[in-house]
Amino acid sequence: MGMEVRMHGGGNMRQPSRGREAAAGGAPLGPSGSSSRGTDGLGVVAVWLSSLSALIYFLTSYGIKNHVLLLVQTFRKALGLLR
Amino acid sequence: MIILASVFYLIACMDIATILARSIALHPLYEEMVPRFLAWVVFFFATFLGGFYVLGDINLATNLPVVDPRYGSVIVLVALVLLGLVFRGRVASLLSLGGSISRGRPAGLQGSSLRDGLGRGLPAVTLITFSLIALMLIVGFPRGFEPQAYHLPIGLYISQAKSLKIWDTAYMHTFPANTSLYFGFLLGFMSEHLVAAAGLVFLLPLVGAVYELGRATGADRTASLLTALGLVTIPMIAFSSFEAGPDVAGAAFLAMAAYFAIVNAEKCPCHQMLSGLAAGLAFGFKSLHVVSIAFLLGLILWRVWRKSRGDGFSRRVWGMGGATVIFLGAVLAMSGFWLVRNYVQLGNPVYPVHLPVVFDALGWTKAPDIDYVERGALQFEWVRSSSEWLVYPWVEWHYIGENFKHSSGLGPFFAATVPVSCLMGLGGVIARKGREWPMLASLLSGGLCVLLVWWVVGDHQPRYFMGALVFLVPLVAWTVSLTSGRSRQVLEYLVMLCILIGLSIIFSKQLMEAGASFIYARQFTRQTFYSYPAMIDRLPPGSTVVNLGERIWNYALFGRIHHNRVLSYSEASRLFEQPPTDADQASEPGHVTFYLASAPLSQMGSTHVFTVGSPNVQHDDCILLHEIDRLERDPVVQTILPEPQVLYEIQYCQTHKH
Repeated sequence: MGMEVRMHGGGNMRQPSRGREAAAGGAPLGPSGSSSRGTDGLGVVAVWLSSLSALIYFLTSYGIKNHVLLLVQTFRKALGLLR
Repeated sequence: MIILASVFYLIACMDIATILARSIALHPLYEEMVPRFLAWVVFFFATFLGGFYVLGDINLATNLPVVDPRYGSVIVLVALVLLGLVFRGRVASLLSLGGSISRGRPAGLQGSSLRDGLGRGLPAVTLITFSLIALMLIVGFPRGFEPQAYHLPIGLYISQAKSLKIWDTAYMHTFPANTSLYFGFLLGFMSEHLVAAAGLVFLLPLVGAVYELGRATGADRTASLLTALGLVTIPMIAFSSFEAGPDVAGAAFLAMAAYFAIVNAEKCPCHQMLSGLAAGLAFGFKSLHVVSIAFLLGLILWRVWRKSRGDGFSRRVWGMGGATVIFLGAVLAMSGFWLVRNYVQLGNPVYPVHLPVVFDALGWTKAPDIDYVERGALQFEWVRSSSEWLVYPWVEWHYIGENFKHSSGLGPFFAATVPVSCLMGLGGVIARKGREWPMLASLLSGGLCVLLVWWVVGDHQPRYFMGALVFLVPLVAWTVSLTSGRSRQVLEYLVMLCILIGLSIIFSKQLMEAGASFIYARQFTRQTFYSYPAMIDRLPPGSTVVNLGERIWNYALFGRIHHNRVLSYSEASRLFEQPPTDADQASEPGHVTFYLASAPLSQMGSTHVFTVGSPNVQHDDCILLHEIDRLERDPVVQTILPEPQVLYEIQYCQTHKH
């Protein structure tokens, strides 16, 4: 079926995928970036879409808005009680 | 004695799990620590709950009160002896330190590329946040509406009656009760304070399974770790884990079932078995996971079929038959008891579920107290129209502003990453991208399958699609792994920011709750925490309290040391509530009238009646209700309660005197 679960770490499990984790246990991979799959075009699209999605969330979510309001109210109440 | 038996039962279950997990460790998958841990968790809970299923079967067949850790200890002792015979001479080495479950290489944090600044601290920040929340939970008592209404009361009923028979026939009390078994067992030998945080335990295997599912898509460790950490910041999951409920446990076992089904299930029957065991356990916690179980069976069969494409037709069919028997056999071993119990007691193995034509033909009963049409309207707690579900992750509306709780809210991590990852994953599948596309297709199909059934069934509560998260969230790991260089950096920081905001939401909400409960209201005792008449804790042993209050009081009424018996609100209503007359409706709409008949009350050994508000309680001439306690003000802050609570002692006439 063309799919194989790769093994990670020590060569007994998943093999690093096309250069990703080339330095499994060695050179840093994360935020400084090294996951080179030759798919950066798609990756850039993913970053833009995720950023847009996050922005929309923070602008439109009643959850965030109500939670911040609740925090402010509670803080004021707590201050009032302390006085 | 019961404490000793419970501790022995736990230790024996751990030993059995260790032996079984080690016995399959020859497969290379188990060189890694996380898969070994997941296999151990599945075997542990399969043994722990399996022992009770055996006792439950005996109880069902003979009516003997045997569901008790003492008898359970005998069962696991027999299992240990049998294992000793099977692994002659190897048990000691399997249990030895060298063979411990932690022998494998850690695949989690070690080797993670979250090595700089904020990233390095993220797992620690998450761990500290949840540890602090655990401390806040431990100060209090088990919480959550459904846990107090029935999961915990059923657990205590099982301990008291030593029976796994149905507590009462209200439809919500007839579901599989792994949650009640787990929490009831813990309540039997440890402090209620510790039990309050016992739901957090299931986050560990959930995180581990989602991490491994992420890895299975070909994602690197950083991406998989970020994804697993992001999952626990989803409010619905985090807040569910703070309650003594079934949702996180169900999701955790479903994630493990998916992991073992997806990772090489066609290559090793042990994976099919582990997947089946985990799926059966998931069903026992949350029966709606039956949808995912059917999907996983289909997935395993598809993979076995594809793997054997060089073989002849009959050989391929035999292969599929074998996989079906192993997977379904394991599922039924872990879920069969609940099916048998409901069939024997209620005439329908999947009661209260009812498929009109098929079940009518089979003669399987229909629950009289569930109205699927009415349940369709429940969605308006979260959305203002059905189409709003399409944007729910970005809107998170709630009709009374409870946007983040055990049943509400998907949080910033989900909104920022999961929908985008689904799109990217779909693109990857269509383009047959890399070697991972069948894995992506499996996860996408699983998630969409759950969402589709959720949509079709019509009971649109967000937590009912929690099963879909198990399949869809790991796609985030794959999407993060798509990026490189600056894109990767930006995406990782975005995900980390969302995780930190998610953690701060969860932590601050718990802090506010703890502050309100313990600093402001000083609810340090059980009576003040649940706010009930103090006399409940001082009733003579063996007292039976009839709950005419509300469902949520079921658990509180068991008393501080759980020495009371409780007739649940739903059963009491069924027995004693009078249908309102037209005159009642006109004068006092919504006012409830109970008529207490002495014969059934006496027959059930009822000694006390508990009411909330001012229901109209009438009774026959053979009963006198003597008020022995009343709570009209909050016990600590002394504010007037909206509805007074009254505890009556029942005095029977000579005819019904015990």
